[in-house]
Formats: sequence, structure tokens, C-alpha cells
Amino acid sequence: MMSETGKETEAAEVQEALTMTGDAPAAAVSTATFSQLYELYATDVLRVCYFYLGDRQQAEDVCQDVFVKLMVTNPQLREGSEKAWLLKVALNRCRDIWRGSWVKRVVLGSPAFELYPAPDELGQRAEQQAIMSAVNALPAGFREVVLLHYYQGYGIAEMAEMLNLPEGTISSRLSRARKKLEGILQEPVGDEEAQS
Amino acid sequence: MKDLKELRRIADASLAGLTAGAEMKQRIVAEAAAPRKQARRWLPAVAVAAVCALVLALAIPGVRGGTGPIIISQPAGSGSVGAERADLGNGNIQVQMNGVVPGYKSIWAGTGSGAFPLVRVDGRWYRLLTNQDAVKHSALGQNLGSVQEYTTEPALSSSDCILSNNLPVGTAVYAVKDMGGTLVAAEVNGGIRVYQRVSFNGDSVQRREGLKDTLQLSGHITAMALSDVGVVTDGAALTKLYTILVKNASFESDGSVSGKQSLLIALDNGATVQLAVKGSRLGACGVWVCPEFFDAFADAVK
Repeated sequence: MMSETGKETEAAEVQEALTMTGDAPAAAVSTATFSQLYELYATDVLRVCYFYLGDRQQAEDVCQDVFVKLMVTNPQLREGSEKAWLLKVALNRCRDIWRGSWVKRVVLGSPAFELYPAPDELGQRAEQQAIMSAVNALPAGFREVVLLHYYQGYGIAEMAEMLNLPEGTISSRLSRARKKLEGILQEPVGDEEAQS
Repeated sequence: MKDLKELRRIADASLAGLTAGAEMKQRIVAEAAAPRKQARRWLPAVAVAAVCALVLALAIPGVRGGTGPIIISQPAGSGSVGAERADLGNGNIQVQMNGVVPGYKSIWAGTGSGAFPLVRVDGRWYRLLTNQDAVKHSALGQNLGSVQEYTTEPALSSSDCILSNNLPVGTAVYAVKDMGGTLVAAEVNGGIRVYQRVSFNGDSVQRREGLKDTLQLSGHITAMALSDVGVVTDGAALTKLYTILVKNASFESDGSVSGKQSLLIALDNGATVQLAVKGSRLGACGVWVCPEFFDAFADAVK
């Protein structure tokens, strides 16, 4: 169930799609286009959602909703910006769910972050668990920028557009997120850009 | 030192077993092909933000027997306005602003001078719960019928049909699977509203109902939290606590409990139910006394 904030955000996204085309939404996106985008980006979208929410079922629901929206609204996107659009919509939805579940988190606590490694990766589980859990433990605003920058490789300017925030805010959040991770991991957290 | 540049490699390795497969793709195609509802026009973001700073807006009386009025109101448990709760009646109903949470962290939709958001089915009253984002359509069970009367004065209704002060006429009301008479649900604007069995207007349990009928949760409890005391998540302990509660609780009255504590019971279908607590008394559908439960709970959290 989407909260009121999420409904407004969703509506804004639909309006954005309408504004970009200047008229009513085009017919639903073609099956071929959808299939292509799904094969290219769905797993990344799913993993980002899972990283954010820590709940597989919720992550799958969000991923599904995002691609349904893609098919239904058929936004006219610049070539190469499809993934950014998908992640932006997904993060909006994740944020809404995260806010909506405060009762459970405050009263019952958050469940442990579970890994889903391939069978041959099980040996490195301890190292992976530490950093994955640390990222998952970040406040939502920090988690978003870490996921987009370090996991998905987006630059500051791109993230500013996706998250509708000033570039200075994005940089600041990345810096604070690194410090926060150092506190959680109890060891320095490196980044070539930060050190140069 | 941990290098965040390695996050991509680590995350992909850690989540290699988590992939978007053919099954999800089929569900997406099927859902996208389903008939869509018309998108509603929304208020501009600035206007919405302004309304969010207020408690409630206009008072427009409801019409008995007609559809619910569309009023911009502050929804319970959240800080902003949208169509999800836009039809909540105003006037008699006040809702809480985001952040203004009672000490016992109530998860019931708020009330003002009149009735809380409710629905009546077969003479049984159910109160709207907030923050039920996790309840899915798959949790909905039998269709119990549709709302036939909308009224802002539910206590004055002389009918015995399904009525509500927040669901429009024609809205289908469903049982929630395996919850018996504890919960009902309705789909509104694509979201699911969940309602918990409570007392209202002097009506609580009917005929030979016991707590096990109005709080039918056996086998589905994932956690219990008693404010200011603690949280229990162990399966065996939860089963024991629930059994103690339904077997030992004695009915005291049709009224309600007003206190500073609550017992929240989280369920595996995503819903959370609430009982108000004061001393050894619990209130939801009637007031029940069960000191044994509180003793056992205190032991369980040690």
C-alpha cells in the first residue's frame, strides 16, 4: 500500500513523463523494448531495492512495480537514460516503503541483512557480510547515494538529477556516508576520489 | 581498510543468487496488460505541502446512503495528503499529524470528537489501522459484501448492512485469510486498508465470542511488543504467550482502555494488531483482564 507521499511522487513521475512528450502518454511500450530493458537492468534494479529495503519480497514487489510503470506510462527517455529512470522510480518507491514501516523498525527492530551469493562465493561470505550489512545499516539518505555512486557508478551530477538534490548535497552525503561506514566497520573506508 | 570502489564487485558476488527472472517478467507483463484505473489529478506539490502543515481542512457533512465526500484531510499516521486517504470524512474525525505519536505508539487511525475511521460488518465493528503497507492482495480472503451505507454518524445507523464512515458505497470488504473475525480489509485507490475488530458504541463481543474469536491469530504471530517492557520474537515463547492470553483472559466490559501502553502483535501477513494496555487490562474488542499474560511476558523478555 502506497503512502500519501508515495502517491504524490508517483503522480509527479507520471506528470514528468507526460510533460516530456507534451501530450497524453503514448501507447504501452513495445514488448521488444520492454524485454530489452528488462534483460539489461531488472537485476540491478532488484538488487538496489534489496540493498535499500533488506527484504527480498518487498524488493521484488518494487522491481515489479517499476517495470509495470515503464510499460504503462512509456516515458520518452533519452537513449542511455533508461536505467537512471528505472532506478529513480525504484528509489522513490523504496523510500516510501521505508518511511511507512517505521512502526516495525522502531518497535521490533530491523531483520538481519541476508546475502544471496552464488555457491562458489560462499568462502568469502564473512568479508562480504561486513560491508554489505554496514551499507544496509546506513540511514536511508546516505544509503541511496552510496548505492548509486559506488554500486551503480553514477556521478555526482547524474545523481543530483535523479534524486532532485543539489550537487553539493550529494557530495556532502557521500562524505558523511563514508565516515558513518568507518564508524560501523571500525576501520578506515577508502575512496580514491576522496583522498585525492 | 575497506575500499568502497570494491562495492560493485562485493555486492554482485553477495547477491549473485538474487536475479530478476522470467517469472517476474511474466507477472509484469500480466499486470501491465490488466485494465488500469484513470489517474487522478493531484494537487501541486506546494499546495499539498501547505495542507500537510494543518490538522484538517473543510467540514462537509456526509450523506447517509450516498458516496463518501472527497475532502482533503490529514491522513492518520502520515504527514502528507493524497488520494489514499482523501475520502476520510472530516468534522467528526480528526487524524494525527505525522510525528505526534502517543507514548504507546498507537497504530490505530486517530479519532477526534467523534468516531474513528471504521467499518461495520455483520454488526461487528472494525477500526482502521495505520501503516499497513506490507499487507498484500494475496492476504485477502472471502468477499464479505460491499459497503451499502456511508455515514459520519455510524452510531446512529438503524440499518444492519455493511456501513462505513470512510469507505465509499460500493467498496468491497474482504476477510483477511486465517484471521477469522479479527481483521477485515478493503481496497481503496489501489491500496489496501486493514481494519481491526474493536468495541464501538457499547458493542464489543457478540453472543458467545471469546478473545480467541476476536483475536484469532494462532500460528501467524511473528512478534509481540509491549511498550516500556520489551519485545518477544521467539516462536515457542509467542505461542505460549498467545495461549495464555486467550485461555486466561476474562471479559470485563464492552468499553475501552485508556492508558499509556500498548501491546503490538506483528503477523506474518504484514499486518500488526494493537491492544491498549493499562495495568493487567487489555482493550480492543472489549476490555479483558489477564495478569497471567503480563507475568509470562515479563518472564519471556528477561
